[in-house]
Amino acid sequence: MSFDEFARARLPALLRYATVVTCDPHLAEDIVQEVLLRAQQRWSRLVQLDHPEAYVKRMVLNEFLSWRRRRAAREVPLSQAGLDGLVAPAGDPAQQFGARDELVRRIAALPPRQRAVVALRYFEGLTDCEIAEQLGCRELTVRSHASRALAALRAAEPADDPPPVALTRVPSMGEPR
Amino acid sequence: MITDEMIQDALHRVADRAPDAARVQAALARPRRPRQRGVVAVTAAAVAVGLAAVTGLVASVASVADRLTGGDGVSGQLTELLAGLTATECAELKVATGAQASVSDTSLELRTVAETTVTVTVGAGTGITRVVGGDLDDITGGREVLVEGEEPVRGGEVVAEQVGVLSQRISVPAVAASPELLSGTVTGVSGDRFAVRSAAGAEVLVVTSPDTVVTRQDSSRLDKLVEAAFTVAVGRPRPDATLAATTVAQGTLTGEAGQPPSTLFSGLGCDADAIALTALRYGVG
Repeated sequence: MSFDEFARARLPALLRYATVVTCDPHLAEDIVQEVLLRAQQRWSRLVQLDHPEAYVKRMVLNEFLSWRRRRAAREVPLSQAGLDGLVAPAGDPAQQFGARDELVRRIAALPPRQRAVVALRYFEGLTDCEIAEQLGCRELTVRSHASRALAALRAAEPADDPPPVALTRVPSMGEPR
Repeated sequence: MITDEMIQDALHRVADRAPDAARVQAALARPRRPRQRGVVAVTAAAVAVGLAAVTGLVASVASVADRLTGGDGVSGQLTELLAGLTATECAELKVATGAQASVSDTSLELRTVAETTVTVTVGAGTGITRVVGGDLDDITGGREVLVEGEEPVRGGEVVAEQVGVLSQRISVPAVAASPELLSGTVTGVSGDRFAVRSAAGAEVLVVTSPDTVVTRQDSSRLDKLVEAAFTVAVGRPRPDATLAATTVAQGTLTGEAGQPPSTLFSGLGCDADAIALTALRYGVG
């Protein structure tokens, strides 16, 4: 399989995966582009792996969680409009989907590692052992992250007018930090 | 009550907001351009500095190769090896970074980001470590730690983003020195807080949170290192175009191994352990 064939076939899935992990479509696009450009340079080796897509997904996760990227990133509040763009597609009857939107908001507000664990467990269907391998940590740590994340998701309803949720935005390389 | 199915449903709703693949595909198909929006003068200056650095690097490579071969002619393999290594302040010590490709009883091979292979020889005196995932229980009195966190807040407390529990104290590289970076010995632990005494004698209180990432540097052996993991070797180039390692350090990330700039090691002198850990922590990407 050539890199172009791989990218054509798997790009939609990679973008969905990255969007779930980051809870930010713009950051997801940035990360997937960056990762695929690097994967393209090493495709002759990657294509020999049993599961090149799994490797590329791990690259996406590493890129999102890497210390350097987080250090370079700035915490900016995501506006209500930004959250609405994430959770409220046109035509959703507010009452019917209110609870689901609230759950999406809470997932988006989780700390990055907790959100990654939730995404890998509930979107990718990985076991705790597989998640630990992906994140480079112990299973115990995965369970701890999952437990805290689920507790946050199941917490009591927030106030009517919650504060803006802090999500990580990555500045362009030329931007001052 | 929030069920697993509700979480799965919510995540699929998030996934439905993914960017349009066709647009991303088109962007990928275009020739890649630098993403920086720099000023022309700055770019020109950078090019000039880069040319000077390359010129200096070539001269440096030739000089080291000449020394190693007695000036009787430079081995092509040795020149290739030196070009793939990063220089340090220490004239003798060079740094190789890459994904571990193979290992034998006395050596390992690193596949660099430039698709070259560096053979690293390991002797009885080579220190081998591996960074693994840890947890807060690893932070105990007397351990050496490297804390990266948010800027000191109330009363000088540092809120830890990452804590590296080290096998020994290391010097902090100048490039990373900042109020948010702290290196020292743990002098006490209480609940989610611990105190760190720096080499200068100052004591700082560190606060952890559920999101604090803890890693632990363990002593290791060649046969315990993991294939494809990002690995750093610091050592001396030899005339047979191998690198005789003083220190080998491996991290948890796989594959993605950039070649760090030599400026990363500014201020570390000939401290091979500090150079290796610095390359491991800051040289990825």
